[in-house]
Amino acid sequence: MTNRPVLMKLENVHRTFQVGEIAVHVLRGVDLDIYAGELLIIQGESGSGKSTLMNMIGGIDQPSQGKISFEGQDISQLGDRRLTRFRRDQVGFVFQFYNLVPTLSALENVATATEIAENPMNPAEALDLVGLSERMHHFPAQLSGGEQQRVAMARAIAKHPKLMLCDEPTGALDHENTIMILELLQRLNRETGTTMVMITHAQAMTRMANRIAFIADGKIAKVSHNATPLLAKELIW
Amino acid sequence: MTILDRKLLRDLRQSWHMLLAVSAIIAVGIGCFVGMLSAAKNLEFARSSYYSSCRLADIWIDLKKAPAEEVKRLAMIPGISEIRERIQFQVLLDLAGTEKPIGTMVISLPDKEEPVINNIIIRTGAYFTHGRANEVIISEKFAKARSIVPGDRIFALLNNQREELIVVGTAISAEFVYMVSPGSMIDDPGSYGLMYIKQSFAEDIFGFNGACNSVVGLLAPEARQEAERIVKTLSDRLEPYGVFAALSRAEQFSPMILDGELKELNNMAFIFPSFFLVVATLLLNVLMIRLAEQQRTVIGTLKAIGYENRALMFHFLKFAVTAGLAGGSLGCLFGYWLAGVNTRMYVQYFSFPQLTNMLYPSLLLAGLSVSILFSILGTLKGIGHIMRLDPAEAMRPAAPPLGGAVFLERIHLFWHYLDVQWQMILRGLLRNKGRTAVAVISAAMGSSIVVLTFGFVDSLDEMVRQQFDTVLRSDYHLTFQNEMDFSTLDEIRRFPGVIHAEPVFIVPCTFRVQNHFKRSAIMGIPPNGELTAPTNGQGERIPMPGTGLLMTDRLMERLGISAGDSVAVLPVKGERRTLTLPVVEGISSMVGMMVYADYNWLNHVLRQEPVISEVRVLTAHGPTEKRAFMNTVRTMPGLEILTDLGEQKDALNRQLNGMMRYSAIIMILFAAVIFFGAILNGTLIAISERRVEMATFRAIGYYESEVARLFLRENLLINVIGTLIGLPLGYWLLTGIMQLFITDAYSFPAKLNGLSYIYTVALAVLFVLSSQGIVRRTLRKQNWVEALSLKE
Ligand SMILES: Nc1ncnc2c1ncn2[C@@H]1O[C@H](COP(=O)(O)OP(=O)(O)OP(=O)(O)O)[C@@H](O)[C@H]1O
Ligand SMILES: [Mg+2]
Repeated sequence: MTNRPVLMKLENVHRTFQVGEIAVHVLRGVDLDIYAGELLIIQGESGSGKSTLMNMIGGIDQPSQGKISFEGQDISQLGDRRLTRFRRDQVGFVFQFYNLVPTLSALENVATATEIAENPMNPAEALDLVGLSERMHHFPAQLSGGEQQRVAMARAIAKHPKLMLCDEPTGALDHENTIMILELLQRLNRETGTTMVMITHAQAMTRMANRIAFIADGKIAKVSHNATPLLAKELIW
Repeated sequence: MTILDRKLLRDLRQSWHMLLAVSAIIAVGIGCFVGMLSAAKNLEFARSSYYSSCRLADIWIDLKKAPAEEVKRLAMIPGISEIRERIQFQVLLDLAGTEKPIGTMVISLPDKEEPVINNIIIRTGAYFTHGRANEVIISEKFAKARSIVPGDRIFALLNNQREELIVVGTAISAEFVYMVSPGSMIDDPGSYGLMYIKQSFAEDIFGFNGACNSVVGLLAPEARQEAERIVKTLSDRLEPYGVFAALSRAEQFSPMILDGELKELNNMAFIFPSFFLVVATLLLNVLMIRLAEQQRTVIGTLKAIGYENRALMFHFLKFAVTAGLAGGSLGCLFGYWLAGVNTRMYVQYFSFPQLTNMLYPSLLLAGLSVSILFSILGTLKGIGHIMRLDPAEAMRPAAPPLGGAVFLERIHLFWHYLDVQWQMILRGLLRNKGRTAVAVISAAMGSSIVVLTFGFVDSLDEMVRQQFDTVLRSDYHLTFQNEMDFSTLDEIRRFPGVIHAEPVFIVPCTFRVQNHFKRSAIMGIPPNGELTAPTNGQGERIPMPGTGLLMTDRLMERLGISAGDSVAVLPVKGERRTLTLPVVEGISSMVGMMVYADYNWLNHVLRQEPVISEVRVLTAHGPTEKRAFMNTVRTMPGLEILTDLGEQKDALNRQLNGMMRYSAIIMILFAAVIFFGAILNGTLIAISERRVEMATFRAIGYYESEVARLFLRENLLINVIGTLIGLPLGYWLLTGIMQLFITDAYSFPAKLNGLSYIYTVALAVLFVLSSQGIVRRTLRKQNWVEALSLKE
C-alpha cells in the first residue's frame, strides 16, 4: 500500500452535531490516509459515524475541528463555492437509495453530472458501461432497484472522478444485483485507477478491499489490509 | 436546453394545476391593474385632446347681467389670456309627443363660426347660416335621446315667449362631457337638453343687447396654478353685476366629475389588484415551500454532485417566474379587454368626440414587471429552504413529521365530541399553521371583495332610497326664474292633480368662515313640511330649528366649523348685506351640500316679504291627472326648471342597475377566482403530501367519497372562518373606498345590509362545494397502489 501516493489525508477530524441543547460528538479525532487508487471499505456499527465521515471526505459536510486535505490542499476550510467546485470536479457519489431525479430519464440523470463536469464521458457511454444502454430513456420509476443503482453509478463515473464514494451502495439490493454493482465498482477501480471509498455492513464484501477501516467511539479503531483482494464474483456469503 | 431546464419543464407540467390556480389569480390582479390604468389613460387622452380642441375655459362666472364692454376689459387682469362673454339661460322645450316641458340649457355662440372659448364640435348638420335668426344647434346626446335631427323644428319657451327654432346641427362640447340638470344626480340625456343659439338672437330674445350673464376665460399657462385667486379677483370685479357663481375648472361640474372618475380609477387600479397579488404571492410561497420539501433529496443530491446554490436558486426562481409570467401575460390580455369594456361603458356615459381603447406598451410592461416581482416574492421562502438545505442533511431520511398533540386536544370535552375525521383535519390544520393561515387569509381576501361588492350595491340603493324616499318626498319641483309671491303657490295648489304643494325660498350665497369661502345656497323650507325632510347620516329626520341653519356635515368640514358655530352669509341676490347666522346642527346630504333653514325665519332675516323660488308638489299618479298637470305647467310663465323626481329616480335606478350590477357580477367572479385558486392550490398540495395517508385509507376500505369528504370538511372549515374574518375587513374597505369617492357633488353612505353578510358566507360555501368536483377528479386520478409502494 505504501507505494501508492496519498490522495486524501484526514487529521484529527472531529464532528459535533448540535441537537437542541445537546451536542452530539460523533467523530472525536479521526486520522486516516486515503491512498490513490485503493479500494477502502469503512465499517462500524450503525450510528458510529460512517456516513458522517464519508460526507466530509466528499465535501458535502465539513469537520467541526481538524483538517482534511485532498492532494495536499486543505478542503476543511473552503467556502461553499470552492467546496462545490471540489465535489463537481473530483468526487463521484453513489448513495444507498440511488437518489435519482424522478422526473428525468436515465440518460438525463447521468447528464445532470456530465453537464457540469469539466471532462465528462458521453452520458450514453457511461450508461453503456453499466450495461443500461437499452434503458436510456426510461424513468427511475420504470427501473428496478439494481438498474436505478447502476444509473446512479453511471452518473458518478461519467465525470471521471478521482474519488468515488459509495455509502452502502448495495444496501437495498438483492444478491444478484449486489454482485453486479460490486463488479462494476471493482472494474472501475482496477481499470481506471479510481480511488474508491465504500461503506458497507456486509462482512463478506471486505474481502474485495485493499484496506478496511473500523470506526468505533468516533475514532478509527483499526485498519486491516488485504494482501490479495478477492474479485467481486468470488465473494460468498 | 440544460438538464435543469428540462427538469423544470417536467416539474411545471406536473404541477400545472396549482400553477394555473396561482396564475389565474395573478392574471385577475394584473388584468385589473392594466385594465383600470388603461381605461384611465384612454380617458385622459380623450379628455386632453377634447379640452384643447374645444378650448375649454379655465374659469366660469355666472352673473345676473353685465355690460359686455366691461367684461372685455377683464382680459387685462394679469394671468388672464382671453375672456369671452356669452348669454346663457335655463329654458323649457315643448317637444311634440311629450307631456312634460323639458328643461334645457341655452347658450349663445357667435353668429359666425370662430374658435371661441368653450367651442363646440359639430357632429351632424352644420354651424349657423346667415339666413335665419332662430337657428339652433343641439347637443348630440339629447338629439339622439329625443330623435331630433337637423332640419327639425322645435318649440321653446324663451323669455316667456313661445318660439319656433330650426335645428341646423348637432354638436358636443368639452364643457359638458357629463351633464346633469340642476338638482339632479345623473346624466339622463333625454330629460335635460342643451342647445346653442346665435349671439344676436340671444341678445334680442332675452333683452341682452350689449350684455351678458356668463363669462368664461382662459388663463395664461403660468397662471393656472393660481386659478382660485384669479377667479376671486374676477368675481370681485364683477360683484356689482350680481355674481351667482364663480368657478375654476376644478370646481366646474363636468370637469369635476371626470376628475373624480379618473381619481377613482387610478386609486382602484392600485387597491383592487393588491388583494389578488397578495393572495397569489402567499399561495405561491406555500407551493414553493412544498416543492422544496418534496424535492429535498433531489436538491441535496444535486448539491452533492456539484451543483451550485445559485444554479438551484435560479432553477426554482424560474419555476415561480413562469407562473408570474403566465399570469402576467394573461393579465395583460385580460386587462386590455377589460379596458375596452370599461371604455365602451364610458362612451355611453360621457360624451367625447373620440374615446377608444388603446394599447399602452408601458402599462403592459409595468403589468409584467409587477407580476414577475410578486412571483419572485412568492419564491423567497421556498428558495430560503433550498439555499439552507445541507446536502449531508438532505441525504438523511427526513425526520417523521411532528406528531405531538395540538392545543385543541387539551380541551377534552370539545375534542372527544369530534369524530376521528374532524380530529384528523384539525390536527393537520394546526400542525401546518403557515399553510392554514395562508388559506384563511385568501378566503378572507376573497370574502372581503364579495362583501365590498354587495356593499357598493347596498350603498347605492341606500343613497337612492334616502334621497328619494326620505329627503325629497315630492313628485315635481317647479323652479322659477325670479322670486314669486304667494299667489303662485296658491295657483299651483289649484293645478289639476296637485295633492299638496310647499314653497321653497332659495338664497344663493357665499358662506365665509375666516378665509374659507364656499358658494352654495340656503333652502328655506316650511318647518313641518311633508315634502322635504333633512336627515342625519342614519336617515333620521332632523327637526327644523326655529332659527339658524341645518348644514351638510361636509360643508361644515370645508368651512372648518361645527354645530353651534356661526357662519357669515353673503347673499347673491337682493340686498347684498352680510349676515351672521348660527349653524344649529349637521345634516347629511348625498347630493350636493345642502343648507336648510326655516322658510319664515329665512325670509325674516332677509327682511323681506315671504317670496317663493321653488314649489315642490305631490301629485296624483294617474295618467290623466298627470297629463292635466303637465298641460297646465307647460304654459306657466316664469317657470325655469321642472324637475321630475320620479323620472330621476327611475333613471338613477336604471343606470345603477345597468352599471353596478354588471360590475358587481364581474367583481364576484374575480373573488371566485381567489376562492377557487386558494382551495385548489391548498387541496392539491394536501393530496400530494398526504398521498400515502390517503392511499392507506383507501387500502383499509374507505370509499373515495369518504376520502373526498375529508377535504370538503377541511375546505369548508377554512373558508368559512376566512370568510367570517373577511366580513369586517370588507366593511372597513367599503367605508374607506366610499370616503375616497366623496366629492363636493356626492357623498355616498357606506351601507351593508345584514342579508349581504349572509349572501357572502353562502357564496363562499358555494365556491367550496363547486370546487369539490375538481378535488374528487384529482383523487380519482391518483394511483393509490403506487403511492403505497413508493418511497419518497
Ligand atoms: N445532522 C445531524 N444532526 C444530528 N445528529 C446527527 C446528524 N447526522 C448524524 N447524526 C448522528 O450522528 C451519529 C452518526 O450518524 P451516521 O449517519 O454517520 O451513522 P452511520 O455510521 O452512517 O450509521 P448507519 O450504519 O446506520 O448508516 C448518529 O447518532 C446520528 O444520529
Ligand atoms: Mg450511514
